[in-house]
Amino acid sequence: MYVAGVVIAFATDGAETQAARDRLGCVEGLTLAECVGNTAPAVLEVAGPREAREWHEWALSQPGIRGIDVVFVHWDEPRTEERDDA
Amino acid sequence: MRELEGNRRAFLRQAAMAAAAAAVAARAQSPSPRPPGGAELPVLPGVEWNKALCRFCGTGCHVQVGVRNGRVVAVSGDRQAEVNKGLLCVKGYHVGHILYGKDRLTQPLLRRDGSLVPIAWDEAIDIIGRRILAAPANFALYGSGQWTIPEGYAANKFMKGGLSNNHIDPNARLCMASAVTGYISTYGVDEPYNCYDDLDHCDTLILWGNNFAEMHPVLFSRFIDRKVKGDSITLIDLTTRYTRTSERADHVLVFQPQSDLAIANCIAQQIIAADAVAKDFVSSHCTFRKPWDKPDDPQTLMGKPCSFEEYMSLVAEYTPEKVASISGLSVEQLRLLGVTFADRSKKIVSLWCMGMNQHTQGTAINNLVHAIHLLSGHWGRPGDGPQSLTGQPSACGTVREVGTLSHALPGDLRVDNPEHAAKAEKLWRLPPGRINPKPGHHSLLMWEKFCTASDQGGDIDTLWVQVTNPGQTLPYLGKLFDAKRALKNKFLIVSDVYPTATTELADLILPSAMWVEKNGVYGNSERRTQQWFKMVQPPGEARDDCWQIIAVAKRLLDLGHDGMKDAEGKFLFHLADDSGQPVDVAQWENYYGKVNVDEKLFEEYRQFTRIKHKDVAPYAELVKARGLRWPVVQQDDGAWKETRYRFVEGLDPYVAKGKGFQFYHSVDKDDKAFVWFRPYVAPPEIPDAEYPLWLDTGRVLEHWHTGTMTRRIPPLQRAMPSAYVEVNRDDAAALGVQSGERVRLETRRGSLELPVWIDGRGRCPKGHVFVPFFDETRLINRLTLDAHCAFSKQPDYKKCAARLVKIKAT
Repeated sequence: MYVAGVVIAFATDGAETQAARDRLGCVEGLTLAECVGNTAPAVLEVAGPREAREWHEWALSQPGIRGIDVVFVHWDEPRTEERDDA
Repeated sequence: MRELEGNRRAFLRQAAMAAAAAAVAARAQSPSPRPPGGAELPVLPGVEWNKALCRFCGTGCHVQVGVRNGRVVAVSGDRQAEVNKGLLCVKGYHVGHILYGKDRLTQPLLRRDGSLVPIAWDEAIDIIGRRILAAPANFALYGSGQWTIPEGYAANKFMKGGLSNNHIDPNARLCMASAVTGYISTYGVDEPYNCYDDLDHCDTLILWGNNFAEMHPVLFSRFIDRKVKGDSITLIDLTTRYTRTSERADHVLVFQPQSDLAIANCIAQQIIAADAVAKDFVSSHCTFRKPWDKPDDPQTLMGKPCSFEEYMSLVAEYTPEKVASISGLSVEQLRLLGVTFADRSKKIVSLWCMGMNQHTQGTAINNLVHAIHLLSGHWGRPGDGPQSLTGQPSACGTVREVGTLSHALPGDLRVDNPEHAAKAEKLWRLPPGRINPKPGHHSLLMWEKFCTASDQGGDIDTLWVQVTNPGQTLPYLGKLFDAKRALKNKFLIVSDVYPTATTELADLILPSAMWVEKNGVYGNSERRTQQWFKMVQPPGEARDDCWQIIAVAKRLLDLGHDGMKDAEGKFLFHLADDSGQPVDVAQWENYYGKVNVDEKLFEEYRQFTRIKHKDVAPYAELVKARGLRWPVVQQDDGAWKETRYRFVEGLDPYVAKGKGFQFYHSVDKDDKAFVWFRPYVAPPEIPDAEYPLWLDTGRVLEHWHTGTMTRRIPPLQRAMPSAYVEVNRDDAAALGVQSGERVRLETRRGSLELPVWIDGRGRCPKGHVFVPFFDETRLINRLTLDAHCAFSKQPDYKKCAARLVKIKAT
């Protein structure tokens, strides 16, 4: 399990931002809070770092999203056989 | 059980949301957001949080590291840190994983009959001691801007104060040496006068060959955040290829390689033509400089004085029309730059990194960017000035401040200055004359000497590498290491955390502790000194690099090397506990015992920093802070105050009252900075009929430098698994290749097969290709040129001639 707290910066255009928020709302494992100005806090809960990375790349490619910063990450301690994926 | 897991998840989600919400709140505070104080870290069961630095670039982001059961399990951006205000980039939030790659080096390994075999630490230290003792002058130490400050300080003292040997140089020679010579030959002293606060105050940000979005993402985000919030600010991207930075720029100015020299002179020409010279500032605080007496003479580092009229005549030929033909920019684009600098009502920040430093005219282009800021008066106000960025976490702290360069001593002193050497000998309690006045070999020469037979002038026979990977990063690798393989008397020692291209060449490998497996102090790009404590144990027998240096010094002492004693006969690294009892820290069992070795070494080093007004804060203050920017001076009330802007009255405690600005280490001892003219000089290798393309090399977001750490982080490795060649769409069509197809990239020095990437992460203009250097399986530096700046000795990885050959399907 991989849990990340992120800050999403949206475009200044209201319609574009709303469309981006709507798309993010369909993402399983993402909890998006209300915007303060053009930014909103969110939590991403995915299976592992690979999925987090894929979401990050996808989100950055979306119209209406200007940037994503990560402020917190927690990951499960790997079992011995998973060390190479730590 | 399932209920417990559900509760835990809910708890973690809550913690993550709280952290993100706090970061948003911090951002919302305008115009200058300050991080909130207090401890807002998530409370996680069994997790203990402590502050540390991100291990990667020179930005100096602070992280909070969560440790449970002796393992790092969480990382949070540190909201108390002014640098990153709680944010991290994609590398930063994976930083905890760098410790846990499955192939960590865990025991010393000696190459015997071609194979690496485990040996004990005692034997490894003894081998090194005896190699050095046999020929102390033929030993060299190649270090790094990733050395912590105490590590670099110990290495420097060991070499220059102990062995009287100046053959110590860092990999930072490859990344910021031109910035050093640029600062010294402009202001008389190294390092930026300003700080990251400029990003919060500027009206225009000009990036000079700097892919800011990928190389320093958190700082880029700090600037872009202002745009998102609606600030009327402008980003000008001066670049040789379209990058992720370009996507956010208001103006993307794609210029021909090396023509930045002409562009800077063109800006100066326009400032003068528009009568926009800051006359009062320039007449009071600057003098003019040209590189020679006559244009046919060779350029020199400190040049010759010239009048404003002569300076004006020298830059006069760099009209927008002429420079358009050199640079490929339009006259309108060049006029945009001229108009921007001619307007003093707006504040301008210039930032640069490798694009200007890895340059055969690196010192010159650094001089010129400082010059246009000084000339136009865009200097000295918050948000208005030039600043170089560094690529390593302590290139400034450990290399430039500690002086781990082959000519330097701690505190910006020089070995070849008798007064400086005497000061160092006094502080180190050495007998007079111990420090060798002859500068040692700089990096490129060091490796050339190591890879040349002893009877052919190769005077380095034992070379110890710490915290870096020259087997991947040195230019024109084949010239060096193909020759070295045949030289049996040469002995390469490598201290590292993972197997690398360099350990493959090593005769002896030492396993090192890394990041929060040891205490550390770094110094970032804005003069900020930052400290952290050890949090987890290193794996197996891995040990601190600093301990390795001290242990070898002690072995040399035991073997009878008198240089390992000071004038009183004490060991160079004689340390005592609070009660005055000596502690033998060369014994690993004592290293993290009764004394904090980092603190002892740092406090000793701190004495040097007062000599040239670079006073770092006491270690105890750094423990409490999220870094402090030097000079840090104690106030009447006992508090320690950092300095955001040097040389500016009221902001720098060393500027005399009434001076306004004072360059108090100026070259001519007149408190004035140099406004330089340096001419446009063509690059040493230019595309021709045989090799028609420009080859540029560099980094990508996911990987840090040679990928030793980031290639062990699966999500980063999967996102960017291997090197590629970025090719312009038209060039690819002419060659008949598409993205994913393999081609052979050739230069006069070598060739490499790579997959093509068209319109991918970056976009090259026609006639250009780009290859990242992170991939140890595809060593692009076998192809690069070893031509370097005459003054900084920094090689140019950004431009050489190349060609592409289509590989026919078999």
